[in-house]
Amino acid sequence: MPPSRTGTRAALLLGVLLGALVVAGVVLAVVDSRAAALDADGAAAVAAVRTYLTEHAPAGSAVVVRSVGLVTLDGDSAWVTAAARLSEASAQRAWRVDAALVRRDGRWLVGDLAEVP
Amino acid sequence: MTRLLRGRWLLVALGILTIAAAVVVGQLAYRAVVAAESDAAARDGAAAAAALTPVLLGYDWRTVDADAEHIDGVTTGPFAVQNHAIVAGLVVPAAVDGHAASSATVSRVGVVTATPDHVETVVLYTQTTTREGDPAPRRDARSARVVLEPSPDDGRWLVAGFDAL
Repeated sequence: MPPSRTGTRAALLLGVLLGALVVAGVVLAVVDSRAAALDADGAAAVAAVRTYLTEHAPAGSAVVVRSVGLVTLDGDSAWVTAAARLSEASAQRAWRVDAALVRRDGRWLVGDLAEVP
Repeated sequence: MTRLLRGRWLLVALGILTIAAAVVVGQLAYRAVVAAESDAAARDGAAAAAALTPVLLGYDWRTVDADAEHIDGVTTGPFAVQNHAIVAGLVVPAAVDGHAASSATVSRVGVVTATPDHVETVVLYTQTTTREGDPAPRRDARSARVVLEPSPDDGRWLVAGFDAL
């Protein structure tokens, strides 16, 4: 086989392979960006609850948030649960809460907060 | 000659581009696999935390030896060794002496962090304990940080850490 024809076939093969890799790369980049966005949403929802609990503590009390976890995340709504300590006067007690969040204008807002008995 | 040289340069350039694209695609594929495995770990880890917390905290003085074996069966890693020592040295004697029993009911599990082989959760539960002489069972609302890792033997999610909050 003449060298020029071999070179042409090799170039064609590499071109096809490169095209396939580019297509796979685009698909995987979309998947990766969605996964990263989901991770960022979860982290933002959890951070919003942590901030809400410390900034909206009942009057005359202080809150120390011990742990916050994501229960569900579905589009623009999330459900988060948290374990905290509530200090009132000289007493301290466990404060366990459920928070329902909604995303408005790109920000996660606590829509409902309820103490878990 | 010039045309042949140009063809070779084209081949070299295509080869370099293909290798570079393969590296990028490989990295993206790896990230996609890790993301999918982390999602699955979060789901399975949360389910395991809900199922295993009652086992970890449950015992009855009449069946305490079997309960201690169940507890050992749901723990892994260094935590398993520490927890076995606590259960054998403190919980079992106290349960037998005081004719005590304990059970836990999980009401919420939230995922704090999740990677394919490590999940940290916050678990809200109610622990009910009874002791001989107590007029009524004692119910305490509690929460804990529960860490889960897959078993090195069969991949089941097991408790690798438990800290009361």
